[in-house]
Amino acid sequence: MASAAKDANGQNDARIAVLGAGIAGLTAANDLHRRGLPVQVYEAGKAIAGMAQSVKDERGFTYDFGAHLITNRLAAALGVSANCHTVTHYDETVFLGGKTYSFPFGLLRSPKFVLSAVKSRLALGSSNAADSAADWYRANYGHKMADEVAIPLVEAWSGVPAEDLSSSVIPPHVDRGISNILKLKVSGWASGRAVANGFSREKAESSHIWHMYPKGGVVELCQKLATGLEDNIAVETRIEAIMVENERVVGVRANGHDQDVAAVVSTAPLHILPKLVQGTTSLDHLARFRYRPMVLGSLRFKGRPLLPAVTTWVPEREYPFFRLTEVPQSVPWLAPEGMTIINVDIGCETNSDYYKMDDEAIGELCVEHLEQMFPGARHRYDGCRVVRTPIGYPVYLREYEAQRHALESGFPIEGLYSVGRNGEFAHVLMEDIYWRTLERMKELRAWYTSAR
Amino acid sequence: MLAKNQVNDILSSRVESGGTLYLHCPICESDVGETEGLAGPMDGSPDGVVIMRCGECTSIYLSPARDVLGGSPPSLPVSVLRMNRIRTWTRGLPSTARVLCVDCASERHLRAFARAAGTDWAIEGTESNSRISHSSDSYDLIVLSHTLESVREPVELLRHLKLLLASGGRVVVIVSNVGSTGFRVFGGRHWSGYEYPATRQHFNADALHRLGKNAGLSVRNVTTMFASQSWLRSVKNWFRDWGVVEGWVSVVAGRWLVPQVIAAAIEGLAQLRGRGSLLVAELEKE
Repeated sequence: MASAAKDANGQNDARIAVLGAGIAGLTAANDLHRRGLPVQVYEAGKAIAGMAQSVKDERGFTYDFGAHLITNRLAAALGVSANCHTVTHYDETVFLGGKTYSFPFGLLRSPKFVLSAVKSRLALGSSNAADSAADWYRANYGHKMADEVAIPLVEAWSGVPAEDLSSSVIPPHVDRGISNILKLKVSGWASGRAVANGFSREKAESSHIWHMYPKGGVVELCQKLATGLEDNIAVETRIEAIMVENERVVGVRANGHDQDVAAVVSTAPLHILPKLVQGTTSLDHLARFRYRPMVLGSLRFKGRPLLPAVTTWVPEREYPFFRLTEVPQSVPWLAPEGMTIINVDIGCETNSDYYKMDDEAIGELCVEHLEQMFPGARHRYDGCRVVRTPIGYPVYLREYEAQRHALESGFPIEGLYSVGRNGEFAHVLMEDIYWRTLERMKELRAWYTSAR
Repeated sequence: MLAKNQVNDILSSRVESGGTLYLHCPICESDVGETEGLAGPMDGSPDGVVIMRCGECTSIYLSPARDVLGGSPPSLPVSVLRMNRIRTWTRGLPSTARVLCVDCASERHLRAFARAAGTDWAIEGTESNSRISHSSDSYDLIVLSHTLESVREPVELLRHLKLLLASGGRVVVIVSNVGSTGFRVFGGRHWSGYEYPATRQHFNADALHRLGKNAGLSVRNVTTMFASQSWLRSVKNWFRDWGVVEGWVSVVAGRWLVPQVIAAAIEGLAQLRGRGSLLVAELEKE
């Protein structure tokens, strides 16, 4: 393949290939298409939306891959607000030493946490110098809360010691202060809506931004984004290679066929790109980037509610899971009347016992521990469904933090863009994926225009 | 010759395809925007649109633009169209002037003023009056009161109106002010100017200057105007949106004297700082 196709004027008329038809890929394709740029979406799966699909069984349980809460701002931006339910309740707790503490203010009931936090805060200036996540937590939360709550959670979630994690892993909103959280909590209480707190990093949070749930699940957002793109989406089409010449993208190989492209927007996990991209070695360093595999169980129970809050964080290492989410407390219609679902998040490696266990064994393991935490859980247990993913979350290791940071200004290969949580190797939430992808596409459009 | 229909076509072009985030600022065409908040119905329904602030002209536009705008453009409270204000706009008009009110509620106020002033103006409205001339260069004054917020192409409308103006004729534009103190307080959602779902864009003084310039009209003056009612309507929106019992809504935003006095005092201070709730622009055809 010598170069991308040229039109009569010698200009590049090849399409922009978008790899993946999830939220990020479709946002990119939708934006480019509406602005008149030629796009082609390649989706390896049988349908768009991928992991954003909700599965509903014959008994009326709806299984989401993670909690599919979105904000009203994302719904409005996509023009789907009228098809969403307003969520009126969302809260979080921490389970520690057999007790539950509402998050974050309940933890202030514990004098040891308060004293430790005050002591750390009095050691001025230390938070800015923190390189590792462990340092940051200890400097900002105090040693007690860091060592007993924050660090065990981040380690369970990432699979590495907090000393090895970059402090960039701490979401910016965490540092916005107690007063901001209090303001959002009060406005949520007063307005009767689940005001979002910590669900958007790209855009400001306020009392006007609350949780919603699309009536048809998150797949509805994908369907909206795909509207008008029907002829530009090829499902069951796997991209086997991205061809690069002279550090510029020139084509892709899709299901064995080479095609010229003007640019590639990838949603593939970063550590896969070095294998995918042919004709350059400039991305080889990305192979070191790690993702944390996750086992995500959806456990059915009789009765509702079972947990003290929608989300319960479990930092103690004796439990296999670090997070429990009873979504029907927020979104009651996801389970039939008198029933509930608890989503459990288990961080593990792909060669670990947890990852290899069959679904029933995972369910039994979780119920056994849930019974210890909330007696009676076993009696109410009704079975489970389990999903495993080798790319649950990007792990911000300090050893490649400089390279990760450099990625924020793009790839060294002309015409190659990467979007989405896996594609950007970034801890981005659903709404952030949308806004960040639009920003990336702005860069692509500028490049595309100048290249012509 | 310019057909009245051309103006009416623009006024009625409130239908456009729905979709995701609006691509361009309808005033300056810039595609650099930042989210400012969310507008929506105050009745608990989940519907809503994103409030965008244009990175270029700093005006506000709602996105995605509605498929069909609902309701009517907001009508100006009678109290704000005080006679002395109309006197300012109409200074220098000949006694036989032709005046056009475009798709707004100012027509009756102007008629009242003309009667009181003993003039012989021919006052016409695009909505109710069928005697509008189809000829160009014929109007001495055109008034748009809260009209530009709801039309799809505000620049295009002004360009057409310019053709209807006689030489030296003026267009007076009244809009809600996104540079007001009221917008600073309530602009995230409950600001009275949004009038959801009847409006699609909002202006500050800079945006009005830009609008006049883009339409080929010279901007004589842009000032703010006192409108304490907008504070009360914003508070009413806030209370309704948050489910406050209707009794309290009536107390604050009804005809009770104390809230009205407080709102007037706040608006008075804002007006003194040049941040009144309404903007009035006088644009002239040279």
